[in-house]
Amino acid sequence: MPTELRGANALRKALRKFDPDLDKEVRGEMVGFLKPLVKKARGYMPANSSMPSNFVGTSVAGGFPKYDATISRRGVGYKLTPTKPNRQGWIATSSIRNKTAGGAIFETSGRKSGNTGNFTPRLEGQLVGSGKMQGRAMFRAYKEDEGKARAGVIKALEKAAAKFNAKGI
Amino acid sequence: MAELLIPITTEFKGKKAFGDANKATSALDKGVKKLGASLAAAFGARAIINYGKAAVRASLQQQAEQDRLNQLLTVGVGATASQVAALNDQANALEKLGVVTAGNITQTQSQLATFNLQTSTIEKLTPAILDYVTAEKGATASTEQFKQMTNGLAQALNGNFTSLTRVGFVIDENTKKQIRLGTESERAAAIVDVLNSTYKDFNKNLRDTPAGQMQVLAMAAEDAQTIIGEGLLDSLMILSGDTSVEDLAVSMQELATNTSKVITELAKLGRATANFFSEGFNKVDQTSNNITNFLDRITGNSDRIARRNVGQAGRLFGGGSGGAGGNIETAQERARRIKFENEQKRLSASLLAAENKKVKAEKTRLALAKAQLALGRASKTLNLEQISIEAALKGSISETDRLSLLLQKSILDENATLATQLADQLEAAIKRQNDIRSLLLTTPEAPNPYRNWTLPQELLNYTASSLGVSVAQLQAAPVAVTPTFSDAQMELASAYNAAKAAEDQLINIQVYLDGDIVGGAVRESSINSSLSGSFNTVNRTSRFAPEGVIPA
Repeated sequence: MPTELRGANALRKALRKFDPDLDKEVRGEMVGFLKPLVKKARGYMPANSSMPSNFVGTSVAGGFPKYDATISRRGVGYKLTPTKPNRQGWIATSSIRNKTAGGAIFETSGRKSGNTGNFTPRLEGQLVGSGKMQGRAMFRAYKEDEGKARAGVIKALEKAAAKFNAKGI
Repeated sequence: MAELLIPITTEFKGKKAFGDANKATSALDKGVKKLGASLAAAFGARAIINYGKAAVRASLQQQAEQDRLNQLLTVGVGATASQVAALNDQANALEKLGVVTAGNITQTQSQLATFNLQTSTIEKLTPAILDYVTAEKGATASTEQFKQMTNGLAQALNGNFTSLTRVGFVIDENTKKQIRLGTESERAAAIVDVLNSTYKDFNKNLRDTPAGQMQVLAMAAEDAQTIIGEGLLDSLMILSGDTSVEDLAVSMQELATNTSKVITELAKLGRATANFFSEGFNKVDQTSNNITNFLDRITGNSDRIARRNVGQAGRLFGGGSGGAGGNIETAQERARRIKFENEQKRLSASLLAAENKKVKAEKTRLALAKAQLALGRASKTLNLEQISIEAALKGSISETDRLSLLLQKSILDENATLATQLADQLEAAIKRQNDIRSLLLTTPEAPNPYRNWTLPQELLNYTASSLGVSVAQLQAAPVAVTPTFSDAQMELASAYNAAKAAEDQLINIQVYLDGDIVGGAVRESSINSSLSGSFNTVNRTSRFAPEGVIPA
């Protein structure tokens, strides 16, 4: 589960404005924790040859999304800027994401219906996790990480906050 | 686009619905405030009062203008009421025709009346003057301007044409004569002709222009104000029960007198109240003493209770904390409080000034540091010493020279760590070089490796026979070249002689190393190799033999 870190957004804003060096430093630290996770998630994205042939290709507007290994891998990344609030009013101050439609299909296919039908069983990799946190690549990497990245990011932010406060800007 | 997201850290920002509602409420709030402000501005009591005042003033002013005209005409030229009314009618008619207010027209007429002109003359001159003034000063000409220019024209009517010629009117001698010698009516007609020659119907035409339309609106507003003012005056009189403005003024004076009396009485009342409180305190004190005495009689020790009672009662009337009168501030306390507040303000101001000074000083320091840094950068760019070192380092130099230059550079860069390391390296290099030098100096002469070499006998025999000499002659002396030699013989003879001469020559080569002669040449690469610890690779015979003689 994500951790609520109150004031993280305000802290980043303050750092950007008053202490850009420290902001750069904390950003670097956060990236240092998130990048391995992203790399691992990208590693779980299969090659085109391992995917069902009719699913592989270039997506066209209006058509069913296609999977392209290169694009899908590139679509997995981290985000250190806050998202828009969801319907419950929560924002993610730092997150990892899978942006491509093809990658998202690979990630989540079979969550509800299980490993049945003509498509899902042909996908490489296994669904790891449970509920909305279930997936084959990004969610799997996150599950396997066991919260280390999250702890690192929080620690980096806490450290930055302490440094910023100590400076007394 | 479909996007999956795993939040690492999250933050609660509140529900969107609440946010929207909040936004809408604040927008509504702002809107209502704005509306309220505009309503207040439009219908505020102060604005209404101000407008009312202005309206009354305008009404009174109009009345004054009418009175002035009436007075001047009746007293000056003995005009009748109907003549005055005719002028008023003309003023109203001209107002509707042009852009000049009735008030200004009346003012013009009054000004002409001061020159004891007949009402008919005034009536004739007024439209021409209005054309003249609006042409010269515009639609918004002021009352004062009307007065001045009317005076000027009236002077012209009396034979002084300066005011007209100054603004460009050309008056011929005939007209001048007519004005000087004619009757009032003729003079007026001549002046009107002069004015109309340039400005006829200017006032009328101006009404159709945008500026004129604006003036018409302003005039309408002014009329409305005057009408409202009249109404207000009437209403005031009705409210006060007076029948004229004079009565109203008397009533107002009475009201002011009464108000003054009320204030005086209030002051007396205040004084009496203060005395009452003082008396009250004495009574309480007396009562408290009585109670104390009474309690003393009962318990034998009631001082504490009595003191407390007295204290509370005292604070009730005298002020101070703990009593019912804690919020009553005496003049002394007020003075002390004001003094304290002033002191606080002064301290805050001085603190702020000090803070500002500090900030300014810090800014100056930062600016200086920045400038110094920039200068440092610039000087670094133009550091000739540094440049020469860099240039020297690019050249082909020995190891010791390279180390020396690097050391110098590190000293210039103020890099102590690198300088120490390089100094150590340089010292070691110099030591090794000295070792090499001493080793080379003590190295014995190397024997000529070719000393035992002799020409093969077959070659000697072949050469001797080819040149027509014996082998013994060939070995004893150089071959004497004769003109009978063929080209081949010539080449052979010269080659042999050269070889013979080379064998006999002494080769003495001196090699300088750091200014000292050493016994041989050492290749630079070998030196470098030796400096890096592999001295075994030095090949002393690779190019030249050490100092000495190559034996024949």
